[in-house]
Amino acid sequence: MNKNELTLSLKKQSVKALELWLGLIKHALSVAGGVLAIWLIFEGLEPILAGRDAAAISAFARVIDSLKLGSSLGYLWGAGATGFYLLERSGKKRAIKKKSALQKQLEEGEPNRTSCHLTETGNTPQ
Amino acid sequence: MIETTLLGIGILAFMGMWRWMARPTYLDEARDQLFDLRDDLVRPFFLKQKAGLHHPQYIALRNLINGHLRYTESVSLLGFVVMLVWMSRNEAAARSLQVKHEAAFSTDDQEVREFGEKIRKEASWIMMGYTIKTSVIGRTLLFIISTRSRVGNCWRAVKEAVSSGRLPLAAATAASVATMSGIAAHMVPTVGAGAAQSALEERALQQI
Repeated sequence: MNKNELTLSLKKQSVKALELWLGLIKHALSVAGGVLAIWLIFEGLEPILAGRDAAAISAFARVIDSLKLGSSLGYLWGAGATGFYLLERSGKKRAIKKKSALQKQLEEGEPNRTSCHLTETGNTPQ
Repeated sequence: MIETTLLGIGILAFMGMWRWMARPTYLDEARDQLFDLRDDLVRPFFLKQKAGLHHPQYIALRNLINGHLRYTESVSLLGFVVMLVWMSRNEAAARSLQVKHEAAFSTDDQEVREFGEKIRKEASWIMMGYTIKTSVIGRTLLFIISTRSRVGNCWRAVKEAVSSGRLPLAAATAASVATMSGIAAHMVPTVGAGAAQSALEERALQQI
């Protein structure tokens, strides 16, 4: 190993370490974002629900009542789009699985055939 | 007050969308493009060659694309930029890396060499695109750069059209063409295409 290769190798190690730190920071930020979002949800619900124990049974109705029709439709649209996305994605994964099997069959016995070692649905192996 | 609750739900929904929908979609997009390169361009090209799939360039290109495929998910814009900065400060090491890669893909056959260079470049662009699309900072920078390019290109096109006395339609056409090429034209000199390709290939070749 010459000097250049050694410095490159050291740099690659430091980049890997930096990426691990970055991953940790990203994860911490995600958790913080999630906690903030949950706090906002309860903060918003608190004035609607608090101090009305006798009427607790109708609390959910009041929450629904407080929602603006436009916002509700927006969220319903988001939920619907997510559902259809997941449906389409499962179909795509099924197609990838079939395509990869056909490709493997086509290339069977070929010289110098190497694999990328992804799963049969094209995901990174765990 | 209910708006506060909806804001919280919206933040959660947005985070979920980014984590479970946007990132996997970009990953699939990049991998689809890499699989297309490998299965629809590289393999058919070498099947037409005299040496066929025994050609050393086929083995090298297939290994490179396999490395990119395997490594796609772990690439990060920060790591990529850090490598580029380091390479710009360590020219000898960067040059030695580029020479090493060029040697791995060298061949006397000009047609095969040109084809190999084209595939390597395309694979690197796919990887670069993925790192930018999946980074919030990268997306913001790309937006700023492309907006600056678009405004600059449009302004230049309009000025040219006005000074040459052409019709507004010609100005609009010129502006559109300039806009389309704006991002690519701006990014290449910014990152240094050769160094960028080397940085990405080095990591991909380590994977297989």
